[in-house]
Amino acid sequence: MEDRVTYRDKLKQADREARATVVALAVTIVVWAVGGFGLAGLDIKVAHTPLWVICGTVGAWICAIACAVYLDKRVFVDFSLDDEDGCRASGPDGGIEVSDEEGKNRG
Amino acid sequence: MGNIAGLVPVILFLLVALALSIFARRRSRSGAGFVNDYFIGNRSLGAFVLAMTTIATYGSVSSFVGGPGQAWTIGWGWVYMAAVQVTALFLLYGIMGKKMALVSRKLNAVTVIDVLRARYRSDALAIIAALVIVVFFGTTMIAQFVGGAKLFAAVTGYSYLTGLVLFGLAVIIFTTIGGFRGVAVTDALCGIAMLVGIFVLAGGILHAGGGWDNLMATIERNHPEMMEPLSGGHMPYGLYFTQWLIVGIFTFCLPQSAVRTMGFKDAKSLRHAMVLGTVIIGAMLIGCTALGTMSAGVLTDDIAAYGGSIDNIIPTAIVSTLPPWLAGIAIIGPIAASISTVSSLLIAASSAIIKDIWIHYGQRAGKTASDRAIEVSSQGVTLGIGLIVFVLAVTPPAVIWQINMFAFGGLETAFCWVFLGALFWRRANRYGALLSMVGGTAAYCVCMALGIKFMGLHQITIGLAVSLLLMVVGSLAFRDRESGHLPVFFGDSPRSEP
Repeated sequence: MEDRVTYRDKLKQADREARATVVALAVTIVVWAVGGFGLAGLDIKVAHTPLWVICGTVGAWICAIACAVYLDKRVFVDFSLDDEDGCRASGPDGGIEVSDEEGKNRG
Repeated sequence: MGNIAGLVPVILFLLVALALSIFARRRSRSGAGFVNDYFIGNRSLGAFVLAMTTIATYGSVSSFVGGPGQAWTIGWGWVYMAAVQVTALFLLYGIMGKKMALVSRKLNAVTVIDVLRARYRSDALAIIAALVIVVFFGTTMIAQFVGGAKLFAAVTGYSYLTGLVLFGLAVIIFTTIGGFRGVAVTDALCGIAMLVGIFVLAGGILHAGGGWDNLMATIERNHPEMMEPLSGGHMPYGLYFTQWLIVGIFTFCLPQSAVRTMGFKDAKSLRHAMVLGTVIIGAMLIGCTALGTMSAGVLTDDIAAYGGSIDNIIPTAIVSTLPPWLAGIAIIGPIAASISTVSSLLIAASSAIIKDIWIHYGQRAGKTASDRAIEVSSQGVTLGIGLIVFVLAVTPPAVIWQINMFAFGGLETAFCWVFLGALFWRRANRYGALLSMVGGTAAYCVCMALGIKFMGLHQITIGLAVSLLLMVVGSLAFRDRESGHLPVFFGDSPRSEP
């Protein structure tokens, strides 16, 4: 999604990214719960460390990294964040005013 | 007399941070106006600085002192609970990142309150939000100062007050001078210092404990319950649940984190910061908390032998496992965590007073302050808030991590649904937002003060539930004829608004 993307499209893409992030959160929670509580009943140790500790902490971390990489490569889209539609709403010293275009729309 | 070998690395670090802050401030002067430069760094953060400043703001001295201290008592269960924080960065950037960047640029918003004021068109909400920010940030800053100074005193042998004066004043000065950009760059330096501190202390504990296997064997022999997730009943499921809410899921709506999503350079920086940040935050927060559990393999006496406070565990581990010169380097990590959080909160609290109240009401009254007046007052307010917090920290309060958690919960309760409503729910309006922020925060504070709990869960569950309910009921029950900037937030034509 490069040039000529409208402001509305950018917002919709941002919404898609937010929804995908919530899914990534759910995946990480599942991995954390299964890796930790799920494996706590097993009497397996690696270097004197219970397996649930490794899977629940490092495993959840690796899962979070994998989610971040997936979001980065497959979900997030680069586009200019600056205003390109010419309907900037700004005032002096960062004050906020309704832009001309928005004013027309509202009318 | 204290240990000079422990003092020198700290002083050197503070001098480097000060120099970096001045350098960053000079570079950030871009002609975009003082307010844009000072409070949002002219939206120029690259991936690395963005990731590090977010992590450094999020990871506080309690991540280095209070959390690991608890892990020393509880065991691996506490580390398992700390692992919930690995989602913090991708949640913040994924949910808030792109949308806050787009909206804030469109509105030329410099603070999170600018965004909320535009969306809800409510000055009352903006003032309440500014007050909530100043009060809870103040509370958190006091905890940071206390934690850093206590640690300094324990490791170097100098007094608590010496530590407070040394790094407390340093952080106030470099924040006042450097502004947002200076804070972000020094945060990056602090983040690196935190990682170095973790690795140095981990090396010391492993060496003192005779290696990983020996440490684990010692812990299992002395406290077998520390090897269980429920830690012999000390870690109920409800605690895990509420920690997921407080330090996991809802951290994305902390205003001090959200403001960072308004300051990055471009979409590519956001993507890269998300991956880089998730790697680093896991290393830092899991690693840091694990140091506490590892310490249980070296510090095997009762808590009374360590001054009766879990806040003394990490300082004791530093002193007892590292030579003095290396202890001086290890201590930079937690001190960096402390000053990076204070600097971020200080600049955000200052912006709430100057930008969201003083400048806004000046403009409404038809008075436009000169750039010079804004510069002097912004730096004056930053300095003033810093000094007030500094004075309050001279008499230290009790357990740091509890103070920190209280402030986290308060801010999340106040801002969570107000932010989500602003960005993602077009029916959200000023009545819902006002009720949500006021009612939720009041419910949270009252329940905390009176110890009221629901099913034994932390009071944040009550605060968040009340806040959500009031947002929904208020928005649906009261129709707002002056919906604010909906096209900017949702891209729709106003004619299609509900």
